Amino acid sequence: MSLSGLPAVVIDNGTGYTKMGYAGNDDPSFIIPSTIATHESKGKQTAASMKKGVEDLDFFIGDEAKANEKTYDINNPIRHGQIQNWTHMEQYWEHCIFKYLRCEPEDHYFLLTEPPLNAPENREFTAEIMFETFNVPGLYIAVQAVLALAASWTSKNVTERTLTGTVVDSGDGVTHIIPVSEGYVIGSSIKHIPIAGRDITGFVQQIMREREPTIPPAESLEIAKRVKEQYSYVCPDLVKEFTKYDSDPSKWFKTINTQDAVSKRPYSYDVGYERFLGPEIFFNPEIISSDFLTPLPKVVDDTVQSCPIDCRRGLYKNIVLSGGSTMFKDFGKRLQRDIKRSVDYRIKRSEELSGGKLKAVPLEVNVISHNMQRYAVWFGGSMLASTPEFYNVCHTKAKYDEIGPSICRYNPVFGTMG
Amino acid sequence: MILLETANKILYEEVIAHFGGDHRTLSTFADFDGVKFNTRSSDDKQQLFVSISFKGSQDLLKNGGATYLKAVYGAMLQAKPEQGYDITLVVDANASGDKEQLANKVANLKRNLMAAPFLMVFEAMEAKKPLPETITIDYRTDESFYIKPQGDNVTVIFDIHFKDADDVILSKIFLQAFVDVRKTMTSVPSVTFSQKDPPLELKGVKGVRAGVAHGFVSITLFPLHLKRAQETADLIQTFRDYLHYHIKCSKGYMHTSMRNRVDSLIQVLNRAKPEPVNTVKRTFKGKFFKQS
Repeated sequence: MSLSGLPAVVIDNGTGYTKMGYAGNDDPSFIIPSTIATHESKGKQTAASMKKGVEDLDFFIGDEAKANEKTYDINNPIRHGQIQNWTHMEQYWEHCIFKYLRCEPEDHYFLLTEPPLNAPENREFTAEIMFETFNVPGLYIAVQAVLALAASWTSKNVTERTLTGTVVDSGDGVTHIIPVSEGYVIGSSIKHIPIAGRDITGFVQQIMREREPTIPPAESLEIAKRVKEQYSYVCPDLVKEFTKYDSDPSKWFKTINTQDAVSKRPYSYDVGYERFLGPEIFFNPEIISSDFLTPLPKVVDDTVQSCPIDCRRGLYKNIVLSGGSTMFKDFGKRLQRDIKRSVDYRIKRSEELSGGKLKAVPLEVNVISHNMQRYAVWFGGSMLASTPEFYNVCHTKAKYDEIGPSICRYNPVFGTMG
Repeated sequence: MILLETANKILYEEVIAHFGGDHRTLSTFADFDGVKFNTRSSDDKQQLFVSISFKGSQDLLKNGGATYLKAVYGAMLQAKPEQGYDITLVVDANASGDKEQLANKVANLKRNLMAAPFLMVFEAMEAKKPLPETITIDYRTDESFYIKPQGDNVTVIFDIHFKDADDVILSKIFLQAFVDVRKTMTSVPSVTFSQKDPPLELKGVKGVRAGVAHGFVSITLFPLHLKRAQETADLIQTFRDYLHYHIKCSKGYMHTSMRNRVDSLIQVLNRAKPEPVNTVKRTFKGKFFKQS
């Protein structure tokens, strides 16, 4: 806690959703879409003399922005994790601070997040807004992947607090595999997979549409989402799972009775194979896509293999999950098993090729699941920002006034001690 | 958003979530003016303890806060606040009545606390009861506000400390608008702004801070405003945050025009690039010829 005894503010601005709250809490106070509704159509904001009144205050963010879609222009200031429109972002933060979190920014330290490979200029822009507009006393810009690693310290399976590991971050749009060594992202080895939450929902929707014609088309998306979130899990073996379902359908198929939201006509549907087929697309992408065919465990393995050789053991040992689409039951177990399998095969092969002369030290593969996976980035930020160390590494307003926005280009890694 | 809201959104949602009787929570969050809230559910999840810590709470409780909170919250108010906090409310998961209304009432805890001295003064003026000469509320680390009844009117003086020198200038311009608006509208409170030196109304009041970074805003409320006590109290208790919010918004607005200006200047620069001279011109069939 700072001198004033007030908790720091943690804001994680993601492409889809913004998570914000106060440090030290387990959950973010608000999770709202990163959307802003403004009156842009009245012409580009030009000279001050052209305007009268308070048009610049007439905007909404988050769910309220979605609700005012008809009369306002909807904008997403963040694309691919990076801030594109600084004016909108500044307004977005105005509302975050004064309407949602309700705090005097001059009294609180701030922790913001950035995607890996963010340009240092963007950090400077962020610093300018935070220090000049909001007069924050201190600012720290953390890399999302590093925060996700920090969040995994809550897991029971973690014995040491290390900032080395591979982050598998799967949200709604895209899945990233980000290797981090001692708190620094190995940028050249980051890999992306075009499969994420939205694809699973679409796939589940498609299967259910074929099998359950009674579901009204207007509700099929909602139902697919519900099936994905509540009933889905990862199975160890696809063929065995099918036989299990077929031999005893009454045990595995779940019948759900519900009614049409509009006409109130009751109907029912079964939830079956899609329970394990949905998440299966991570492991067998060929079932939905013909362009992208590499399974997730293989991509993780490739990522680590492309990293410098001296950090690979650490990266295999600590594979951390983050984001809502990694929440499926047994997701971590399956990922660990598949990666382990290919690693063991490779070691065995090299031992054979050496003619038995070389013996490798056994290699540990650990995939770490924990309860905070969904908001892992925010939670990691909340955790780090509630340590006394945070206040030492923050860039202060005094320093900013002395040197300028360039101080925020570099944000020291911290938290590994203690 | 022009005016700030009075209720705390986080607190409101915590209380609403608590009504199911199956929600465990322990969280700490803030509000304007250095207020710290803490919510904690009891072990059986049936009760939610909402505590507030606020530097000004002693002054506020003394000056009408205790009576007003008692009137609003009644039995919800705990006699002994939790360790480290000033006031504690307890919300029952199975409380009867309109849940949203109750949650809203709890979420307005800070508002009710801040508004209490104003409401007390307004009421006493109405009833022509005697009042202390000046009420001092020391509510932030280096800021206070003063309520001074004068005849039929009440003068509220905010001592606002600016951490940034630029903010002083911006606030001056902003407050000038308040002064100017009196020319067109007669029913608005009169506002004066003085810097460094406290206004004459505060002569003889102990502990008044002064200095370059301090600004004194005096707002004189007329009987007309005192009649609409709740509304006036709503607005006046957020005045300091309102001022700071708008200073920040106007800075943001200026940044916007600066960014637009830079964009248009870059466009000009791009247009000013000389056209390349030695381009090879091709005919339709792809052949080209040299002019010598």
